[in-house]
Amino acid sequence: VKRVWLIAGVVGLLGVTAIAFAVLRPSGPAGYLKRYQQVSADGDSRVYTTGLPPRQVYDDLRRAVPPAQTFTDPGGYFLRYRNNIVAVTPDGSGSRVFLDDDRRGYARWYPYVGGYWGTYSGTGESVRGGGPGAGK
Amino acid sequence: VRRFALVAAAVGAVLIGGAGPAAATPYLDAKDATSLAGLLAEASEAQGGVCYGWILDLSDAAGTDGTDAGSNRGVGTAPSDVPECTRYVQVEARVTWVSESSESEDSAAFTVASEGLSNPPTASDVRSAVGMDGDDLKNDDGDVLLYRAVAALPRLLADAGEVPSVSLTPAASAPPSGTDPTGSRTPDWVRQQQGWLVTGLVLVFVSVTIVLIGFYLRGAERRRLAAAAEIEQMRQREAAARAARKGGRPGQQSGRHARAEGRTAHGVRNQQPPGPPPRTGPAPRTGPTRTGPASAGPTAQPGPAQPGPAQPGPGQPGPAQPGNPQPGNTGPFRSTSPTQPDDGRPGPSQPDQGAS
Repeated sequence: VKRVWLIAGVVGLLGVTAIAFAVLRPSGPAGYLKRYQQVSADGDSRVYTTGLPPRQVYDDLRRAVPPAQTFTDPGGYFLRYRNNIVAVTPDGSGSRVFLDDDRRGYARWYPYVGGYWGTYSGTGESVRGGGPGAGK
Repeated sequence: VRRFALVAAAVGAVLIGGAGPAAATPYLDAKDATSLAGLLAEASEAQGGVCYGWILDLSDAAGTDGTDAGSNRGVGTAPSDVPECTRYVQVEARVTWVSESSESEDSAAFTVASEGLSNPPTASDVRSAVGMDGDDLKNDDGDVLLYRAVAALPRLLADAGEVPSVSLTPAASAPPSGTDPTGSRTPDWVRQQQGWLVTGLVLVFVSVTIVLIGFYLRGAERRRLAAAAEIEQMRQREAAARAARKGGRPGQQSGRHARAEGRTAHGVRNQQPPGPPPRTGPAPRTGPTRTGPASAGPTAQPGPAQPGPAQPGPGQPGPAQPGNPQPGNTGPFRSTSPTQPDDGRPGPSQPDQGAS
């Protein structure tokens, strides 16, 4: 029985360590976007550029830092995190990436995302959720 | 602002055309359909007149069947039905909602059709960009997914290099007062560190399971030991009770002592004492506390330890040498094991040997 307690202790310690590692590790898109060239900064808002096409930046970012929601507009890609909004737009053959906290990002992009990620009642207001609801 | 103007124009076109929004869009909300048409109109204008749109066949057992269609040219008509659209890409979908009592399940499917384009987006591209499956259109939020899938078409076509990109223009003014951002309250690290989190939770679960198993095993071991101790106590009590019963019979204990004394005094082995016959009489009982053949009775004391004149002489075997069974050493003075009573009654652990 002592061996059982020992195994349980070791496994439990590993589990707690893994959870602590997950919680304490830096999260959010800011750390990932540092790999791109920063062209401007204003408080928590930053703008980056890269030679990669928007679709690749979007795919790489959401794979590395999964967002809560995404929206694809004809003009670019939007990614919604808990405290940030990221917009990936075309810039020549490359991309321009906007990183803002949620309030600044919402203020910057509300004509595009207002109906989805905010209470702005512009375009697509009822597409935020719900729907016909007639399905099983 | 230009987008708002286009949306207003699309709404006006729908109203002037006389098509009732509800009739034209049984799947999308009428306002959303109009908004989507305006979005596509803006993209089409910036991308050289490529047509974008959607067409969805809806079968609703609880409502109205119909076709939901629209394009950059307005709500109600898919690009494939517009002769002027020589280059187009559109989402084609089918949704079936069955009744609650039906044996069948709701179903849905979608694909992407195009015309006049060399590298159009595929259904896989749309699913990947939007994060959906075709079957998801049957769900309650299917209209949201359809909207997002159609809205993604101009971006995906531009990413393929087929048409120029539409640029995003940040808002020139602050959002109207009273509007606030909404969104997920789930921390980013839950999604980002999902692998570590799941691994840790699994390990903790395994650890808790092992602890529970350990408690169970310990309890089982304790129960087993308790049961064994109880059985042992029962044996002891039973043996004590037998000894007590036997001690209460008059003359027996004294006779046994007399036999032992007589034998040791004369140095005679296997002398049959007076009293009960060997097999049926009350043989000297040995309790559980007596161990070994040497404790078989008063006469079984080893010779060297027997003081007095009963000590046999050299070469003369003692009255009951332990560990040296003699063929004639039978009867009431033979060696007995603690668990094998010789009174003819089977013991608890050796029921078949009591009659031998």
